[in-house]
Amino acid sequence: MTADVRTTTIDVRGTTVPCLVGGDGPPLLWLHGAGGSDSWSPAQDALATAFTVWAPAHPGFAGTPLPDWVRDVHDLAFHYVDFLATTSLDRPTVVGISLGGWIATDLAVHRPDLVDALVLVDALGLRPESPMPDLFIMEPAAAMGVLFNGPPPMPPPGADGGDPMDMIVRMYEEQAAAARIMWKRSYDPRLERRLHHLTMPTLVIWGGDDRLLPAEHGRRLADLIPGARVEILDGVGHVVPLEAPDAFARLVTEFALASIGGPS
Amino acid sequence: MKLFNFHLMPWPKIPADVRERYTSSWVLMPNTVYDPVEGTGLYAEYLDQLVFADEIGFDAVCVNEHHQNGYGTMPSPNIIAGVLAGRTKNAKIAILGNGIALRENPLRVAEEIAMLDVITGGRIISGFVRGIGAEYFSLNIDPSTSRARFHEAHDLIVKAWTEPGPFAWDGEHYSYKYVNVWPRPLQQPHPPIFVPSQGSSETIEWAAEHRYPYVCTYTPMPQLIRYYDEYRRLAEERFGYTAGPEQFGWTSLIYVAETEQEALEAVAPHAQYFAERCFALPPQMLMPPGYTTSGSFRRMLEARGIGGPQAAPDLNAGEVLIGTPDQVGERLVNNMERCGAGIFMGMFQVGDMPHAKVMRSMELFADKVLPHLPRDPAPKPVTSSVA
Repeated sequence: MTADVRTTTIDVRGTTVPCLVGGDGPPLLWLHGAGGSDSWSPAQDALATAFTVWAPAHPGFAGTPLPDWVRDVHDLAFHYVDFLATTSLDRPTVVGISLGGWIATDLAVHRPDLVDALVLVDALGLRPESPMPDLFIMEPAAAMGVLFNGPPPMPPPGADGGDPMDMIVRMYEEQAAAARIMWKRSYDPRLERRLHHLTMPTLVIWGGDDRLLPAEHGRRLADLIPGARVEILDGVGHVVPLEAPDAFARLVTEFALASIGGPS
Repeated sequence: MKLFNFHLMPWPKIPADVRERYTSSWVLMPNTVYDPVEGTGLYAEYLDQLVFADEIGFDAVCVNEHHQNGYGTMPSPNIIAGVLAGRTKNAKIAILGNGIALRENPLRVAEEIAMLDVITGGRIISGFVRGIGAEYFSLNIDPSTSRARFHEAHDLIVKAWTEPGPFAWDGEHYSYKYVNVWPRPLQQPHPPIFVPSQGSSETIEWAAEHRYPYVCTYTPMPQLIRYYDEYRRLAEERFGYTAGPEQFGWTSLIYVAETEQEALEAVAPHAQYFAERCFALPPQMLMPPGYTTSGSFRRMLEARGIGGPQAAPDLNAGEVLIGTPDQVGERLVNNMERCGAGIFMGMFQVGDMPHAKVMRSMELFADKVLPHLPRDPAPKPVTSSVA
């Protein structure tokens, strides 16, 4: 790790948000997926050479309680409107991964004025062409097999010296927070009609071997967003930043730096 | 004591390799495993068993709700209760219970229970449950909202039974402009509410607060005693009353034969069928995210060990009720006294046990056990004071 990363706690209208902040440069808001809420990954580290990366944990993640006010994805989108106001982040590039990609899309649909550029990575949100595999009903190993192309690129519970019981309980809590958003359905049937509101420069990045949402879905998402560009990474699974951190960071950096100050 | 006959109505032809083939006998086992032609005969036999329980003097017959599985084929317990309403004469019909947190429209439960109560002349006991984890997959209800939905649905149903309508309900999970159930229940203030549970501390406290009879199923006796002691302690110290035996049920598999050996041999394959096939439920289906608190989840993990097998349900919590009439009668009374329960819920049919076997055991129970049990009528279960 090269970037100087600090953990800060931000009070967003009464909700405690743990947030990792690292790097130097224009602001980049990183919205994590249904896991990986509290670790600084190599992809984030690479982005930190060009940006100040802000990586908050969604409510209910990273050991925070799941608030009653979280009822669906819109509550998280508006939570990030409040987060941006609280932190005075000025029109960041917003990068959303998987579940975080859905939140990022919703945020940008409602408040395009707050987002300088948008990067959607194997994002949920748009209704899939065929039913998505149900990760909740799978044994953990089977779910990992759907998410990753090959062995999971992170240590198993307890490998870092922590108590494996703590990690498993944390995962259970985070799955509950994810369930609140995506149990009934992991998309919003209304989103397709709203995607034309995404007038900011948008890059869609997708794993070519994503077995949760196939690359074809990523292409369709990009087609529905005005002027969006799509990049498919061959041989990569659902969690692109973990499987291909360097290629991912390069794409995001080039795109976002070129977009700064562009049309909104 | 009160005698209840507890039935699951299981499907008796779950394949032996259900775990390998379908992961579970819940949610994922295809419904082509179910044969409706055979189902017709099976419902008839199961209903005959419950009707026989009424004839031989049981205080209640029990039905319950489970969805999309081979463990129990009563997705709508109120339909079975409706059938039993016409076929039983004296026994109460205990629905243990309606999975109210699973319902998108719990007012329907208030209506159906009220109908049944009026039709039966007030013979309905209304259990309320959250439903087991797997059912949140089957009915696509977010398990992280389970407890909140349960409490709100309960409050709504009780208010619908006890307050004159129409009134408006403006809740977090349910909203109605007009709550006005026709018919109203016959029993006043409403049919007794029972709470079957697996022993979560939140439910024990809630049941004790409302003075609802509490029934812990599949739980080893020492653990069960701890749960019931906790209920009694909370009743005494926090809620200001003494919880009597009429507030506790004890559930067990029961089988009576001429010799103990014969009884053990008769039950063994069906108990095994139950554990291995009916209860084929991997952890992620039993405990979906948010279904239980992280504290309860941690206690469960610590009990079974990370990656350890799911604990099989304990069908014989306490002294095993499989044996001769004398043995079963004596052990039954002992167990009830040990845990301080006043309601015995006997499961006479288990797994794929065929009708003839069930009936032989029940007939012997009726002749040789039941007449010697202390049947002094327990006081009526205390019902909710919610008005």
